Amino acid sequence: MADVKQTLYDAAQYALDRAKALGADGAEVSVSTGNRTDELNVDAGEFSLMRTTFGSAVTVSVIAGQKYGGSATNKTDRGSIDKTVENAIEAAKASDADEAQQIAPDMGERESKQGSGATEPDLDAIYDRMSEFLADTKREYPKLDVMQFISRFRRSNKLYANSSGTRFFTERAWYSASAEFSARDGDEVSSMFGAGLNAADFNRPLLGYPFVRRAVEMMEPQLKTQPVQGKFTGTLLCSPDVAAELISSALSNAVGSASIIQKTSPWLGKVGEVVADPRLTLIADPDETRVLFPEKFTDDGFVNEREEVIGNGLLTGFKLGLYGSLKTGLPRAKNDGYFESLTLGTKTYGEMLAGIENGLLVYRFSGGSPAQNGDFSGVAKNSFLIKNGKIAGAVSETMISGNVFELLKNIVDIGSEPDLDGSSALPFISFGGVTVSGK
Amino acid sequence: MLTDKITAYKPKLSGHTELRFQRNMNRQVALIAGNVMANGFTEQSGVSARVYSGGYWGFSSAAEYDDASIASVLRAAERNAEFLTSRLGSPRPALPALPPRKLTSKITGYNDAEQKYLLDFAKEIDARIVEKYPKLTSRTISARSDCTDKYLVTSDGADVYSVKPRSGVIAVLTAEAADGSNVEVFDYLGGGAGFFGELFTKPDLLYAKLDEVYEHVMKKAEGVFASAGTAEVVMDSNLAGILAHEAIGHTVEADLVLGGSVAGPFLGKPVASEIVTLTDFAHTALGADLPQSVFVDDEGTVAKDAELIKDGVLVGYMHNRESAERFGHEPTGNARAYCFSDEPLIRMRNTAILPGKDKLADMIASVDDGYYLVQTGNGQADLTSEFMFGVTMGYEIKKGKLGRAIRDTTISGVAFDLLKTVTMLSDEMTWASGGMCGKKQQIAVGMGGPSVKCRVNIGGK
Repeated sequence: MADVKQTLYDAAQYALDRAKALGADGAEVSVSTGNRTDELNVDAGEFSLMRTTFGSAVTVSVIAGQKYGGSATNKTDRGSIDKTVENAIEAAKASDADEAQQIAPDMGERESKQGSGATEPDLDAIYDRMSEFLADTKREYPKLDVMQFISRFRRSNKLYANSSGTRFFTERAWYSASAEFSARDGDEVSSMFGAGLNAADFNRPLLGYPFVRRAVEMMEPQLKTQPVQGKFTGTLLCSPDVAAELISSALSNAVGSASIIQKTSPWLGKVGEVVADPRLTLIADPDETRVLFPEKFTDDGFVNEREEVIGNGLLTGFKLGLYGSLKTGLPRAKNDGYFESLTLGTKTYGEMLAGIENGLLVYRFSGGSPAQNGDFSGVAKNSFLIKNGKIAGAVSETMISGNVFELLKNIVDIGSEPDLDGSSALPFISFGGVTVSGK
Repeated sequence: MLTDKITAYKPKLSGHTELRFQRNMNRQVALIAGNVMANGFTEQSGVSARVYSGGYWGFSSAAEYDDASIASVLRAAERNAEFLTSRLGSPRPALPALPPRKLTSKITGYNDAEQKYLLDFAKEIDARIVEKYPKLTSRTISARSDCTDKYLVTSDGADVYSVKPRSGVIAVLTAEAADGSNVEVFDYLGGGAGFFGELFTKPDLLYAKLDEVYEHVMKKAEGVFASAGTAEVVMDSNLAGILAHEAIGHTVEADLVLGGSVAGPFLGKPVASEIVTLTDFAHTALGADLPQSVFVDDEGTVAKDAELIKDGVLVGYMHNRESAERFGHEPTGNARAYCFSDEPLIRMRNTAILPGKDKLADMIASVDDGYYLVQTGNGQADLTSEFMFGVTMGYEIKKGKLGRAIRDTTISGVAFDLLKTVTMLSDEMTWASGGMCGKKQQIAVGMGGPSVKCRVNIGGK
């Protein structure tokens, strides 16, 4: 590993030197090598493919005369780096001067090792866990069709370096699994659904993860679906994935750098104001221990710090990097991620369900991106009607519509039980005042 | 020469082995409110090997082209196939060999415009917007070109070199609505198969389309919300293409049929109105070259059209060599890989509903109360053929006439049900090829169709 690290340092320094020699006032490079992925695939319920890929990457950004240009390659030899730096310089020369184009200051030398310490995959463990999942689901859920199922061991080494002196080295190794499945009974087939996770090891059966079992368990009831009749306004009980998707789309329109630079964000001028229910606090934390890879560094050369973009319902700031901050005169975000966890509520999933008189339990939302003003509509997939606190059957051809900014203010409950899939730690969330329409 | 090196490996391949060298290049420029926010060039290249043994595939790839790297990926691919046969046996025989085939595409090298050309082109369009449309609150102009350059040799005699360039210019215009919120319309000003410098010679050739996008966004700013429920609609050809690809196409990819698609039991049965014919074309259709032409696919199969629905009856699937063998069908040449490090998967090429005999004006005139849906932002579907498309531009139809514009909405339905409600198809069709399809890997696809009159669920208030 020491050799790989030195290779990265040498390649990065070479690229920075070349950029300076070709006229760059500043430059930043990201170099990655020694990356390896070992992957097993199941298709239509049967093992089909095993892959091993070896990879590298070099990304170069230069600023020359306040003009920005970039280029990337997947090779680390000197000739390829030369060509990549030349491409970046050529792009910068063609661009316009913009005083917001700057390289981050020297943040020192940092190192982050995340995930498994393994350097080689345990292929037998991958194969055995996959075989076990296929056998377990066949035995316990005979109507389940596993369509595609992929497990991987991945190892990557990356160095971020800039002309100010910053050096961030990140080493990662981990296992992952993702499965897509449906239920089948004769010619009847359910909508498809999936589950996935990242883990430091494969010591645990996949059905031992509660959210994986929940995903598998709810497939058979979806063989019999009915469209919602007519239209009603009710409460959405959203799975952690769906809740995160809706909240993230609101944040993208309201705090993302493009919407701030274009001045299309509806939250401009609202820092410190109420934008959500006071129970909502969204957390991005580089030291989050429930997540395998909390981001330690930003893409533009800063060290991530803990940040709550919404704290107790109040907007704390915008997700601006160095460029966006200099462009708008607004503060730079302390963390370039939106959130991977939030302050948990007090109710279990069962208690949240029991409190809903009229609504929909939504496990997948298939919809277009919300409009700039937050209006959204889409299809509630893998979803169930809720009547008087109980599940009243699976639905099909049912649409939901509302406004993502209003959803944040109309939170009914935040769950107390987060799904721990290695990528985030988020619970079920219920939102009121959503239009549900069927046939 | 790289080609000489590759040719030298051809006689060394044994069993069922594919060796592919591939380079993907991508050049992009984006101006957001006049600021240069993307400005760069990316190149990825490398070699991959895939081996079929006993019913299982082994695959490996590496970025380097040298002999040691090629030998290493060949060994790793063999070892991976052996890993599976050592645990699972060899339940299936070898795939039937294909006759030797050699093909070199008409385009023989990368010859695209430089970064400055794209940037200057985008800046000129941006300046035109600022000058001519002062009412807009923001705008984004994106110019991009990509090119895939690949060389495939196989142990059963394929020797195929292809170069596929693709370019496009996109505008996103934003205007303030009466309620103070912002609305936007996204559209391709132009694009298709070809190098940027060949397709885009002068910015002013795109100004008529730019005026059209501006007219749409200003009408949308005064637009109303659609009324939620089932409605009679005329889908513009932009939506027909995504209906063909997303809602129907994926359900008849043979690997997904094996995976449990709802289309499995429908083969040979009526699934659509008798006026509907849907085909995944390999390279040419109706006398024209198509945006994603595939003459020989990434397994070395000579590509042919995959007829999917003919006169309303489901007549076929899209196949690679393995699925064709399992179904007892002919391979159609649908195996495609996005990048050197990707294995070929069954992917669509140019999927379209064929045109009918009606005039678009007559179709709109025939709707008493419904919608004319013009532009889509995205689409999703699953193996039940239940689909969702975001609609980013559309108009009311009242008593046969176009009315007010509508704000962003979503349409949904079950595609095999929707196709039975099709009553009119326009006599012209358009092709689009700007988008990417995601299915484990992304890949460029072409899609097309005429305007379609049908019934669909529409979201709204």
